[in-house]
Amino acid sequence: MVSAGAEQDMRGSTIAMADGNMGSFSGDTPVKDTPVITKASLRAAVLGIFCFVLVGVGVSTLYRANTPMPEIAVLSEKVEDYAQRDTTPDIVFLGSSQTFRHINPAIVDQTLAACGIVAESYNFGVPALRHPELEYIAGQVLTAAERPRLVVVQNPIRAETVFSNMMSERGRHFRGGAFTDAALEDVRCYTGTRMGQARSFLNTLRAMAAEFLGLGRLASVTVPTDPAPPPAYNEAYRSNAGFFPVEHDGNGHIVDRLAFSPMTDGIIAAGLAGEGYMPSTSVAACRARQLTDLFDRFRGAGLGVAYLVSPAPLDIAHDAVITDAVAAANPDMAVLDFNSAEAAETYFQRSLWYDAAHMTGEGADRLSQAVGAQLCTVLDR
Amino acid sequence: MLFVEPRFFVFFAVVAALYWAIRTNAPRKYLLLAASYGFYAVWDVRFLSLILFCTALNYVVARYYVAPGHPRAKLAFWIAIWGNLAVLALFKYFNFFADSLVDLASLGGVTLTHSTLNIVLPVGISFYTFQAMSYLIDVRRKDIQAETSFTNVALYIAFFPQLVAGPIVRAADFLPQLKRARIRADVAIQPALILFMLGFIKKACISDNIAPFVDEIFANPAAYTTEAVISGVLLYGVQIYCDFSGYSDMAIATAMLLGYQFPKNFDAPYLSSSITIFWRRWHISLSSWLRDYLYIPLGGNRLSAAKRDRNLMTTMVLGGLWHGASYNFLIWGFLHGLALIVNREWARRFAFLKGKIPLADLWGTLATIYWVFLAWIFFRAETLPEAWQIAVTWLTLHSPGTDDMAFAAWPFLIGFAGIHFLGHRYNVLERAERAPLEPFAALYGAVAALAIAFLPTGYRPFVYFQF
Repeated sequence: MVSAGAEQDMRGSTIAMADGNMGSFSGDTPVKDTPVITKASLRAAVLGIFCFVLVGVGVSTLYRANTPMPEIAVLSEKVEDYAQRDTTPDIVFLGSSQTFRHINPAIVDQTLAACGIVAESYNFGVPALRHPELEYIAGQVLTAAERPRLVVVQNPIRAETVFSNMMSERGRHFRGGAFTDAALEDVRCYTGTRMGQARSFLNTLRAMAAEFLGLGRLASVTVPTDPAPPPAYNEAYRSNAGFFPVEHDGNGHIVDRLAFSPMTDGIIAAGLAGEGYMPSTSVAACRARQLTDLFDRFRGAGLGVAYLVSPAPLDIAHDAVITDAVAAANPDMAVLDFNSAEAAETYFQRSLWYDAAHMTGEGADRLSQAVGAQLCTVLDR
Repeated sequence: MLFVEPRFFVFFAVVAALYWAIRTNAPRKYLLLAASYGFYAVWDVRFLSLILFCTALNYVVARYYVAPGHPRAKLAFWIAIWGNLAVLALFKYFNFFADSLVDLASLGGVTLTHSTLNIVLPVGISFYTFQAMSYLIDVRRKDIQAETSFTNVALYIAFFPQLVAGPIVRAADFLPQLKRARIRADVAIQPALILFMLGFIKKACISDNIAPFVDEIFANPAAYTTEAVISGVLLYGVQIYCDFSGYSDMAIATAMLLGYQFPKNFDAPYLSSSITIFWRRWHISLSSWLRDYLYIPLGGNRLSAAKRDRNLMTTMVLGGLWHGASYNFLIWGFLHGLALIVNREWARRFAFLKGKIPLADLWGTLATIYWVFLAWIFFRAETLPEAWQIAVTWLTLHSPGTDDMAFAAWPFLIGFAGIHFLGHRYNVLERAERAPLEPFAALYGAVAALAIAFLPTGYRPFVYFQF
């Protein structure tokens, strides 16, 4: 215990102090002191930071090299299923939950058959798919022994903004290693507000720093705790053998959306009135360039590419700008646009929507039929 | 804002840079006061007014009324003491006592209802009210003079390193340090950095990593095997020690880096060979506060053995209640009070055995740990039945459950015991000060990176923040 009038410092020595006799000291007299920051302390700080980064990066690199890719709901399952298939599908749909929930391969195939095209389609949609993950899945498709004839790419959702999502195993995996550039590019081409982009940028940097320095990686090896169970998706999705309407899916994530993101007549009306955020032309061009780079990789491997814009009343104004930019950058590419005023009568009815972003099974079937019909033309070319 | 969060590092870096850039004492104190209130406001801005009330009450009464010869000194002193206690009672104990009254009445067949105010517990209220009261009591006892500077009193109560979870600093130790500007020679940088790192590792890398396993065991003790439940109790003992002493280390180190000295709060408590020694080493700032302001005024051990025992028990039960308003904390305090009484009686009756029992210290340490960990069960458990279930397993070494704990607890516990022992034996801080600067910095950087690699995902609040 420190006694009054003297301080026992942490070095075990006693600093004699005149604090007890400071009655006449004004407290406003500048104190003469040795500088806190000296050349030696700066040199030591630089050395300390260097060692900090060196060890951190070492841990991170070792971890990434010695641990498999984390299990990611739907994505891991689809990748595994795609690799194990006996037959290669003719058409592969890539995209987010608006592909995952909206494209019923059986109906697409039936529609194609009705116009005389025998083809097998495959739904490779993954909920919350961002650009780095799209790049990864594209890589799976391109490196498979046999390749499909056509890849239909849905406009991916804008870059993540929420830090906790970025710090999930999935988020960290797709922000480190070979995905760093794609993740930064995704933020650069962020198609939302400037504030959203700033938040996305800041949080992406934080998550990347965490991944770069191996935050928590030794703890996850030495004291592994049970992670939160991944959302249980219906088996039908995994095998692509069937299509499971969203309203019958008990997955907690999708059920919760009913509460925090319900579809309303107001959203539909506002979307059709052209309200909502519209990205600038430069941002749209950036996004188009980002997608075109991906399309070029498919084309370079001899695959056909089509661009799908799924119905989403919240994003009608937003998607229109992006679609125009993508179409301008790829004049010969088929654009399957179902998110415009022309599609209103068919899709923008409250009864067809489960939540603000996903259609019910009935809506999905209707869209799949329309997609199939348009693909008849595309494949016929 | 936790000491282990990146935003605290940014906050502290800014405050420290400005602090050392200022060359005069008064502006430095304004800076620290503003930073301290800002630090607290991040927790809950509403309760800043409570700190200000507490500060003003104790400053005014000590300065203008509790002066020697003032005709109403005694009255003013007691009004202020009860004012402090009223704040604590309202925010911390109101619901507990109201519920207890309703329960008691229902036992007698009387149905009472009360509308619970749903009062939120302000962070750190127990710490800063105790500090404020100690200032007032010291002035009343003439141990120190009433402070003329409001800023000094405000900073003493709200200084951010100790504001939310101690150590409970005495005015006699801290106020003199505010009288002159701290200089570079007041700061032992390398020991301070090491102390902060040790605290960080204890809190973030040890306590937070084992917490999920402890939570699981305490949430459903009946499902687990005897070994798992025993491990869970032992791990909790490690968790709370690392959590609280880790926080204290970081608080002391943070203050050191600004040139201020805080008292030591922990001193290898699990190596204590008796419960009396344990209380000289565990949460030292609280135990010495209770000793000086409660136990001794009650009569301490100057009276008969029976009254001494009564004083001990009163002090420990109230010490238990200080932690929180629940029967579990009451029982925790009672168990410690009982152990202290038995320990005193043992020492008196069996004094002739001193030096004659082989390995007496070791047996004493084991017995102390056994009892302290039994008491931790009541400290940690959410409910009394849950505590009882675990205590029965601890006492009988039998649990009906079949689930094993998914954590290699025993190697960890043995490793912790070894480090606890070695840490006590070798003064790391002393060695740190003698270490050459550049190798120290290199090693520090490497250890910091390893510590970050051992962080669990997500932060847990400090256990003692709830008190």
